[in-house]
Amino acid sequence: MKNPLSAWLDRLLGRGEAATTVPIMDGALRPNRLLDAAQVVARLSGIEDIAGSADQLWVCAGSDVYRLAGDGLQKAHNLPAPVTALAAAPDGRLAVALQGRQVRLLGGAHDGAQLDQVAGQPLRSVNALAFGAQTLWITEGSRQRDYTQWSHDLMELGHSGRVCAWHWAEGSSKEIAKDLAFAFGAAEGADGALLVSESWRHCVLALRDGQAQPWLHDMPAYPSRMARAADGGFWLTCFAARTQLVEFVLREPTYRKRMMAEIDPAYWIAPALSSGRSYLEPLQGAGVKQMGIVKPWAPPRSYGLVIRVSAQGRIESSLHSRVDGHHHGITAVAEFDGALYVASKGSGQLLRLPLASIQGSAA
Amino acid sequence: MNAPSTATPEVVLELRQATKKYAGVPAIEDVDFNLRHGEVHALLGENGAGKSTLSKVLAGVVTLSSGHMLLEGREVNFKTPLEAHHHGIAMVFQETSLVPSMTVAQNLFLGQEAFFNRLRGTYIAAQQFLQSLNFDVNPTALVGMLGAAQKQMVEIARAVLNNARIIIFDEPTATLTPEEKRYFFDLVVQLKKRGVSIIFISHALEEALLLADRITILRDGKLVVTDDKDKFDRARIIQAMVGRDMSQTMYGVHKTRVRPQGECLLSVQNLRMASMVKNNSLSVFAGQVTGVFGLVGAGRTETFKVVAGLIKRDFFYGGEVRLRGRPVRYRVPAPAVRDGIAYITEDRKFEGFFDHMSIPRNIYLGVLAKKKSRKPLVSAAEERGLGEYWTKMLSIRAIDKNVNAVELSGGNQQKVVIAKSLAQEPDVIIFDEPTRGVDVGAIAEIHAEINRLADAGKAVVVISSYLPEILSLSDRILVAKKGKVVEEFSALEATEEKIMYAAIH
Repeated sequence: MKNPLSAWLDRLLGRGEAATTVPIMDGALRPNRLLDAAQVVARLSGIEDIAGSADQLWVCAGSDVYRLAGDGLQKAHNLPAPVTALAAAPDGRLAVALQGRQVRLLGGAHDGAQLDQVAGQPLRSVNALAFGAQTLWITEGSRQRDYTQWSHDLMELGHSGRVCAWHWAEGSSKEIAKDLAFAFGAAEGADGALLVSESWRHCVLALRDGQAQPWLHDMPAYPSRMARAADGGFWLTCFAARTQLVEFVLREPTYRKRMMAEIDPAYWIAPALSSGRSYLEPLQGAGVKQMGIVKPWAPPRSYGLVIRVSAQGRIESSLHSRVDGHHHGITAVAEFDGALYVASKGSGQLLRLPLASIQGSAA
Repeated sequence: MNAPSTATPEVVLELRQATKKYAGVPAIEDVDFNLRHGEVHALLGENGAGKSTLSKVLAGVVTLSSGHMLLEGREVNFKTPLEAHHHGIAMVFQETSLVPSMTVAQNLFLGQEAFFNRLRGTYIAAQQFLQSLNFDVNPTALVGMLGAAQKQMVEIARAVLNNARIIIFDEPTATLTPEEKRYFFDLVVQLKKRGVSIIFISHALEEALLLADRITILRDGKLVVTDDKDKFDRARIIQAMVGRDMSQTMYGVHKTRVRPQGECLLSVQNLRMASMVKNNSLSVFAGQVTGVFGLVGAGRTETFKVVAGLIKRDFFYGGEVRLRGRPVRYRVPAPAVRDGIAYITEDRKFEGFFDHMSIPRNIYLGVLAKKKSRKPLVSAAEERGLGEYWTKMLSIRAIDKNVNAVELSGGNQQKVVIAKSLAQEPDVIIFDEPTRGVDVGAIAEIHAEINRLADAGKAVVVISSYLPEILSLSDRILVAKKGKVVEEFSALEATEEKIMYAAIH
């Protein structure tokens, strides 16, 4: 618990937690245009998640689950509610989250098994799933808001997210961690730890024996779903980038409250999955546009970012779609058949980048 | 001491068999040197080669131990700089000798004022005189408020005002920005047209090749060669200066690999400091050399001085500095030093070392600055040991190991400053203009040390205004402009053109 006097001084002097600063994207995070140069495999409005197994790549959008077939997509499942998360096990079974409120297995010995609550609390905003050995890891962003209301959760400084484990064969489930500031994405680390993105705290945690340690911290963007890379390490998606203006708004409760009460959420001063479609969108000081052209270095309302992280937690390279790019709001990524598939929810497109080309070009 | 007059008419100043010894040790030995009428003569050599001694002899600051000096064929032996001045020889030192609290006009006429001095008349005379030289300097401006180039103009104007026929420039461009250098070069050309002979001491070989008519190279106090500029190229100059071919180890080779990025040790986020640093953000990684390039006013030095606690960021909303992810805010340098940040200043003479302390004592002071609980007594043995270790490690060359730092050459002084910081065993080392005013041999040694530090996993920052240096040292290059970093390049893709474009546009 922080000393109130110290907190007041910090606020007065704009330091510590009251400093409206944002880390720079440089070094391995140096901007490039690799995501904009990616091949568009399919246009899928509402594309949400991707999952790769040994012989198949799965994609979900709306209530449908697709499989990759040749150069296009083929519908494999139609579900009764929008799919908010998808995972594929090596044996080919799938796990889906329906409207964030129910997790269901598709295929395999426990086909149709469902999970609606964990530790006596109903699921409300399941946003990512990951298969472990006889365990399904579940991240729930918020217990106060639905999955689609993630920006509400951010503006309310939500910290009711949790990580759960479902042992479907035993029919048991439990909470691994709770009170997280928007848990969004999980993966098993190389050393047995469970890695979990905590979006609103801009970090990835390593959960070991009930203890959480920062694995990546002070990130310049909001981390989300993760996928294992074939040669070790991870691909980490970031669905939006941080800006000083949003950080400032997050420190002004009265302003936020009024903004949320009076303004359409599409026009809030908040991160977005896509932008530039309406003149009503908020701008920041600095030249977002000059002579009608959006500048790539302008503060981003929406951004496209995928980060390659080593197994030891070191950022190695990154793929970007800058402010003036098109493939923003990256929510999922998966390696499959020598290529990296990327879901750009902001543009509603499934992208493909050959791994060899990434290694040669990324920072 | 009377030598026969055999000088050719065009030679205005001549040294024959000139030797100057300090405590029996020759600084220059048997030097035969001549300066022609209206020529620009570059004097090159490593630090300690004897350039400064030679120029001081010519300017009357020191007298010869043996040999002859002839001015327009007549033997002279200046005992004081004033005597040389009366004979039309003026020297413009690296650190100007102007009075900063006086105006330009007052400095110009200092020592020549009438008994009833009328300031307005002085200003008018100064204005007319500066205009005649085509120098764009306001005579009523305080010298302390002028930039380095303008100060140099005032120095030059003062020399010309005193009817100097020979002007000796000691490292005139060391403190100038690229734009100011161009301005200075124009001045030299103007002076030459007026028939003034110029001796030009510099470490920047390109400048010598650009400006000089003839080049003289000294090594270890002896004259190696004097020849027309056209007969020199960079490789020949370097070889003559150091006695070995170093062109391939300096700026000649383009980088083909860079060190991989390690942990982010230092992160500067949205830093603000007055009008010099504007919302500046950057990261520095372990195991790499991060080069920071920018024109003067780009806020590079100020940013890193805030990092090291030498100056303070803006009081309100001044951004953050994070060391290993932990926010830090240093109000004085000592805690920054203790946390492993070393800032090696660009201004070694004022901020880098104590003039009248020995090499070991200067280095030991660095160690004492890091220690939190100081012992009641300092250890002479520890001081001696440190001195010996770092003198050997950085090849600091001095006549005696206990010699005062002020008596060392520029390159060796810089090595003392570096040793003082490295003795603190820092993790983040910020070199600000590490080779300014340093000779070629010492540059190579300092560069080798910078590379060794990065190879050892330290996070190294090199702030430099010299593009070839940035290109040859850096693994990643940050370009600053108007108070913030505006572009980043990998050393593999960077070119001088790309960097300069980013720094200007």
